Amino acid sequence: MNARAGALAVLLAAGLVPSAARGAGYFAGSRGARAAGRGGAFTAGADDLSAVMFNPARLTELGGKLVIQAGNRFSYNAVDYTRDPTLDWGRVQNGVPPYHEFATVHNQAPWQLLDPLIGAASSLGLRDWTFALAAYAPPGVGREQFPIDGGQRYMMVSREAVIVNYTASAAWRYRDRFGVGVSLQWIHVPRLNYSLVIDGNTLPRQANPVESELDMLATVSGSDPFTFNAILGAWYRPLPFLEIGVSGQVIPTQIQTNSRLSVTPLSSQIDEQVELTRDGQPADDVKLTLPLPLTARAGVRYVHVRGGRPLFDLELNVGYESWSRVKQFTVDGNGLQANLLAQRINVGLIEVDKRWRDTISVHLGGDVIAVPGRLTLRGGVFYETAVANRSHAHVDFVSGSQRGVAAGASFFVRHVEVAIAYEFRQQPAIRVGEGEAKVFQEAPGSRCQGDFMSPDNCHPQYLGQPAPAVNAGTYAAHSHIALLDLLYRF
Amino acid sequence: MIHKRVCGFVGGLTLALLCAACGDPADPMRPSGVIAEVSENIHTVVTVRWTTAVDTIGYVEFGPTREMTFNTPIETTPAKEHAATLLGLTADTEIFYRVVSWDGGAAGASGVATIRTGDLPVGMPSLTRVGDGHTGFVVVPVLSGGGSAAVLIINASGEIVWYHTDDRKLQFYRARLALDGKSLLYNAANISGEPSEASELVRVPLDGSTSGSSISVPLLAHDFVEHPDGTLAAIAVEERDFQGAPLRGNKIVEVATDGTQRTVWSSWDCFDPAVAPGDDPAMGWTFANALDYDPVADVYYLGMRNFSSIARINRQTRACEWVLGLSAPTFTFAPGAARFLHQHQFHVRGNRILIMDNEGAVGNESRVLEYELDMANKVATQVWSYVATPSVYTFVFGEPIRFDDGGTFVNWSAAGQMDRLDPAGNRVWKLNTGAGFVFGFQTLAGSLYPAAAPPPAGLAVSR
Repeated sequence: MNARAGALAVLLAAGLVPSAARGAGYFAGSRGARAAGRGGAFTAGADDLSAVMFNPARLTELGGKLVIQAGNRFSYNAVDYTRDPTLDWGRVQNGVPPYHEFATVHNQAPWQLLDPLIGAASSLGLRDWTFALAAYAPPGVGREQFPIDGGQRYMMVSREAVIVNYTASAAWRYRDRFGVGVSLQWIHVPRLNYSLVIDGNTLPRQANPVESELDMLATVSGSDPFTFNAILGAWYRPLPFLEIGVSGQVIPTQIQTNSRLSVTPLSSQIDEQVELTRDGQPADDVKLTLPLPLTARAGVRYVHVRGGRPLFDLELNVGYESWSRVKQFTVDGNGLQANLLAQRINVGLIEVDKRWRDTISVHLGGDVIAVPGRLTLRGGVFYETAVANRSHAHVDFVSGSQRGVAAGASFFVRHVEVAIAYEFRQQPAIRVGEGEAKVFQEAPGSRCQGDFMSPDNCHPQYLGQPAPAVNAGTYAAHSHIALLDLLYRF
Repeated sequence: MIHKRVCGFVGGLTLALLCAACGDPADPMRPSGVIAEVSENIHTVVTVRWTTAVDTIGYVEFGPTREMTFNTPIETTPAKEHAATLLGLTADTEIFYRVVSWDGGAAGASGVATIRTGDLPVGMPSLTRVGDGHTGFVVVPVLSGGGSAAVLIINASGEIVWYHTDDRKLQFYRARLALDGKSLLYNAANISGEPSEASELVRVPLDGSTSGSSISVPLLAHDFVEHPDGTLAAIAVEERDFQGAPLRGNKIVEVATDGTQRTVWSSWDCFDPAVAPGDDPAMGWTFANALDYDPVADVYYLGMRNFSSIARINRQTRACEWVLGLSAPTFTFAPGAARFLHQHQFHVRGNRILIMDNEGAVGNESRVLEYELDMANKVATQVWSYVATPSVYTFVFGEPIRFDDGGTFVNWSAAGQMDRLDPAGNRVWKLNTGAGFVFGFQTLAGSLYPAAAPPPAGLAVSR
């Protein structure tokens, strides 16, 4: 066995290892048609503007003095959830809590049509340097909308996240042996909205797992103009046909929005508005904090060359993301109080328990030069481990493991490359039993506090927990993603 | 060694694949082994049994449609083996049912299944209902001219949903759902002619599992009550010598839950036959025929046909606190107030009383009279009366009930008719038996199940 065949065998074998993958957390999928078409296996072989994200060191391999790239990602994101039936202890009739079944709810805003990437890279006349500027929306499901009366409403009714990363990158290489690079990122969040239904009940021993007369829609709307982050990358070519790439997002940071909170009673029986005050004065400002993960990606790429021309390549990537940093989403009301029907509810510090875990992803993909200088075909597969434990499964972000398959092609006409890709991403259905569910209804006025064991304040059927669990049920999600990129290489 | 590792890997992989094929592990709280059986003794009663892998409480949803709008009470004791009785079912009807369980943290349910109830036995009365203005159930004995008797539960649609017969050569006059929530009580006695030494208070399980049990209380009369603590109190006949001859009065006999019997009141405690002889010596002296109990005041209300009077009796002192009627009265009637004669049941509500006046009206016509009682001046003022249209006559039994909403239920027993009146006095529901049947005293029930106790808090799991 020669070295080339050995390297290929190792790659193939590694691809068969039943390794896990990563949960996507806030993000899902790949940025750039060429990367997506390879199933995201692009850390060692990145050679377009998406390198600013995959591996900035690879910017030196773009193959032009000036490269301009523009593209968009179109996606259809289906999210389905069926809450498990439960007993409605809030509406006991003749001593018997009705058995309540919930209808399946679907993401009512599945289409995501604007998801751009634009950038340019240039050596600026320097032999071993490349510099790049890019702006892109990180890949993911930007918007979800569910029925306000659906079974998911105590978890979430809607969310909308508009995030744009502005990136300035620089890369340097040492001959054809190795290179290093860095991307400095300005993360701009012009819009981050999140709404869910809360139970405003303040009476002791109350639990309303299905519906409450004091159901209220709580909405946090805000933005975060600036969060800094950075990606470091490197590549190494130990053999002419073998490349290794590593990259990582290395700064522990978080998105913290300046937001406004609104609380609206849903019952038609309540005419009164909820007044939000702080120290007796009207106020509605809150801060929403979403931690960002550290990430690391490593890839190994085999390039098959015959007659001095590459025929195909195969790349295996393994990614790691420290989503365990996301213990909870925090809404800091800083002493805010909600006043309704002579009741005063301390908004205080609301922590939506997430308890995410670190994720690992495996991506395998490659290109085939079908018609040299004219057509390249590519394909890939990937698998990502679940970002959340089953107990904390949620509809706001895909929380289970994901798998997918992708295919793509590039067409070359003189200096222009048109790259297209299709990616199918699926979270296999997962079911969370009510007994194991740990996402509890938000009931900020509840008197059941502390260890949640007080028989005077806590509902007898929910002792030991703050409120009924509301995330039991069956989750499924899938996305159809199409990407189109135009590259111009001078 | 390598072989062992490979086998271990393959075994683990196989197990993983098998588990994946199975999907999620079964919910331990989910009911399994659900079976339903129609009672052999009562063909309108179904018992559902099921098991759960962990201790749960549960109940059964059921009904004649897929909506399953009825349910059994939720169990109070967590267990792995369960049973529930479906009550209120009509004969020869397909019933949908589903078991629901709760393990303290999660709910589960079986699939929806069906079972068909059986036919009613031969000899049950035909019933005709008009109107929809009544809800709930009527628990009532029926007597027939041929001497056979049965205890029935009739739904608001006028359908028999529970029945019981026995081969005692006695008749049944009053039936009640027992406070244990599992059984029905009735008296088996004889008031026509000589009272029976073999009379009994009978308890029959609602689920039809056995023929029941009985307590011998000799010489029982028309009526009995059950105290909140389960003590039974019944009217019985008591004979004493009066002027050298036996005189047939009455007594109230209490039967404690341990079976101990004691007399808590006698006609002779309040009345002197020399002063109040009654008006029908052929039937006895007082001829008590109706009994109610107020647990708050701890008093009995006793109706005495031959006195045409109703007495409020202090259970502790045996004293008659007041008497309303024609004999030995402590109340006077306000001018213009109608008098009642040979009345049967009545309903005391605060300072008002409704009375089934069997024979006070002119001609063969019975009526319901309502009086307001001025307790300070002991004056009874008639405030309402009701005569059926067309009028009916019941020479025996009969019972009016006033509801919180102002509506009224009237059982014209011997006429084989029951009326439900709205608060304005308009009849909104009427039930008639077929010819040859007579209703005894009735009790009304909104549900055939007891008021639910809260499920045990201990079921909640600690998280």
